[in-house]
Amino acid sequence: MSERGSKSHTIVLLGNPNTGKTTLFNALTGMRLRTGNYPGVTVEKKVGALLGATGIDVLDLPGTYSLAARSPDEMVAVDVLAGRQEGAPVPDAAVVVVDASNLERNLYLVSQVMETGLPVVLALNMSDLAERRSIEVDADVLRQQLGIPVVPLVARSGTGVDELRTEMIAAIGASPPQPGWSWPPEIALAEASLAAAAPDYPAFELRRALLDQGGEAEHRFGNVEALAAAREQAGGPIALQVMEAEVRYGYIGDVVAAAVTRPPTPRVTRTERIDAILTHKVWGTGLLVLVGYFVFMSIFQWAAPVMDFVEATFALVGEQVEAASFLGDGALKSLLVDGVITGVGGVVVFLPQILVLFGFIAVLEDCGYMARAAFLMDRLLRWCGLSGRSFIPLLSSFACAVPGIMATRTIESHRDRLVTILVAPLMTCSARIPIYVILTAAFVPATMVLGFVNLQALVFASLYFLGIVVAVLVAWALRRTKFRGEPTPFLMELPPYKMPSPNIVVQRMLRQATHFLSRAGTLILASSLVIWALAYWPRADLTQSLTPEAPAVSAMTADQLQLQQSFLGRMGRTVEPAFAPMGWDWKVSIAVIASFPAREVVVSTLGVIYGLGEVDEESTALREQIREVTWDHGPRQGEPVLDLAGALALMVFFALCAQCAATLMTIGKETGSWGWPVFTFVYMTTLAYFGAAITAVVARAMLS
Amino acid sequence: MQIDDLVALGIVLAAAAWLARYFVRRIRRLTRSQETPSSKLMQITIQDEDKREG
Repeated sequence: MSERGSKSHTIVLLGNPNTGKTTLFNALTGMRLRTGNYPGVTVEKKVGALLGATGIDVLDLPGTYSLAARSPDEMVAVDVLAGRQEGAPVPDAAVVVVDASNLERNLYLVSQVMETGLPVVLALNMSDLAERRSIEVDADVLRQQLGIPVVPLVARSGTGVDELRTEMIAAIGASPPQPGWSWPPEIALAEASLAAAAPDYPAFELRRALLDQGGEAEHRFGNVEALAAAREQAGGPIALQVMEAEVRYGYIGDVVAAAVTRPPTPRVTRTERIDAILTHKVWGTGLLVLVGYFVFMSIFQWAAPVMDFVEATFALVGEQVEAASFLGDGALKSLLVDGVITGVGGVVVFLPQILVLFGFIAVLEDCGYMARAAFLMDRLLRWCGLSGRSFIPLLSSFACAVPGIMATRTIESHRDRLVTILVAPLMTCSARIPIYVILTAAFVPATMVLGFVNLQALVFASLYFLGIVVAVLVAWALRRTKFRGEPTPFLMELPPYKMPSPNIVVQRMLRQATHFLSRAGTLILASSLVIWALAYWPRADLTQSLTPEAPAVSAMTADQLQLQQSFLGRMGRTVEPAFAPMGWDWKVSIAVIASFPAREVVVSTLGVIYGLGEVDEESTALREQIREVTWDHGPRQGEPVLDLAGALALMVFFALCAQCAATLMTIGKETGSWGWPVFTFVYMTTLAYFGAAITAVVARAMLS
Repeated sequence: MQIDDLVALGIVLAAAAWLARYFVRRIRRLTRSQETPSSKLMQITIQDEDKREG
């Protein structure tokens, strides 16, 4: 996505969070980046070629309210505008996307971008929304007042995008705008003395370092003494910040008074009426729980028929390959049937569940509900020392912890950010769904509790809840030990509700499906083949073992005996005692160990092992095999390996364990230290081990 | 060893080599660019916050 071609011009797209920048970027470039109706979707810069023009790149930057950068993602915007961002050239022009229904606040950023020395184009987005609220923005007057091109548009429908494209092309090589305000002499003098101390420092960044006390520009500037002297000269840092706000808002006030007409009495909007219920302490929280339950129930009820179909298709393909005479009866056929079809097929059958879940998440995001969920969760997050700002990264982690951890760059407080990174892997990512679904479907009865609550959906939801509760407790503990300090206040704009765009929802589902299938076709396939080989070789001579004189082994089939004598069987028997507290046999134990690099490998590993061991000739579905498998040795020989208690323990283990190499590597990258991924691995694995052991013991005691 | 055993072994070895390359590449990519601007900034600011709070 961030690959750069040999383009000769670059135009930067920036604006406040949730002004539709990514939607506009997609419309301008024809790309399909992920969009969301809540702030913080874009964390890193994205690049695409401008459609209808040659040699022009468009850069989509993370949303920012101001160039007074307080978090790393805001600093990316400043760096790109200043031409200091590694891998990005000095831009030729900037397009600032503003929300036409909320112009005053948006123009603050516009006024700062106008000082960077770049030609600026104003994209007046969400013009339809402003119209619905009876807010009239006169684009011509705005253009005259600001002295820059202004294009009214609706990015979602594409209205005005062609006009913007024309203005963007025209802006390349145009003169930068002349700001229509002047700075008080105190600021000008302080800037001059600072410039004398750092003669080669860019003027725009010098001003930001002077005005933004405690900001990223100050850190970057470094010369603390010169900065302190210049600020004192202008009356101190607070006076400087007040002066900047007065100058900018004074100017913005005049512009808005001339260009914007509002209704005499502001109407109570539809969004405000809905928010009265959805953000209510009691009703809002109750509805949030109901929405969550509905989503989990749908995963079981709506996805089941499609899952059965996919399962039957794989079984049919397996049978056809099994019956193919040209393959013979040797290793190659076993590799195809037990390794590829059973291993990969066992994971691919969960695609319908993934699609249903992410379809719902996309609908909830795009209609604006997720921002309300963040608002409701702020109370809980504040209790554990985090803020609602951590909600979006944690929410992203429900899909995959990697983008979730990267999304923490929007968190200003570095302490909050690190704590959020450390607990993000506890959120239930999509890789956990297969093992949850298979064990819940196999062991939890599909009965109704209290007459209306589906027990399987309840168990499934409880596993999600477990991840959240443990994350909250870990964050609470970290904030009271290693990361003491006050939580930062949370300010988040609640976007207006809108009908979810089918296009955006389908795109999100397809993106997730592609990610899931590409992992199944690469990582899962390769792992399945290696597991198959370890379970297939060495081949033992079984004719001696299966005689009536050896009754201990004659109870087993030849396939089971072969499996037990394989490399995998020997390894499994070695690690089996470590998982004795949970009551898992060597097959489950080795599947757990094999899934440490990527947790979805557990399902394919069990599929390969049970496929080779021929648990039951009649049942082809893994969820049936997993219920019927029995101990093949020891005092419990002949008894089922997994019962409800053992299955619950396995699910708790997967809920809490750090079984994802990609996540741990991302933590290392984002924190700049290998100590934190090691800490995450150790604390999560310890929690998982003891959590699973306690679950097994307690559940067995309660169920016996 | 029969011919289809050899073919199967070849496929498995190719898969194992791919897996090893996949993980080695990921680790290398991350260790090479381990210190991102944001991570460096985060460490510096946490140290600063610690100093400020004594």
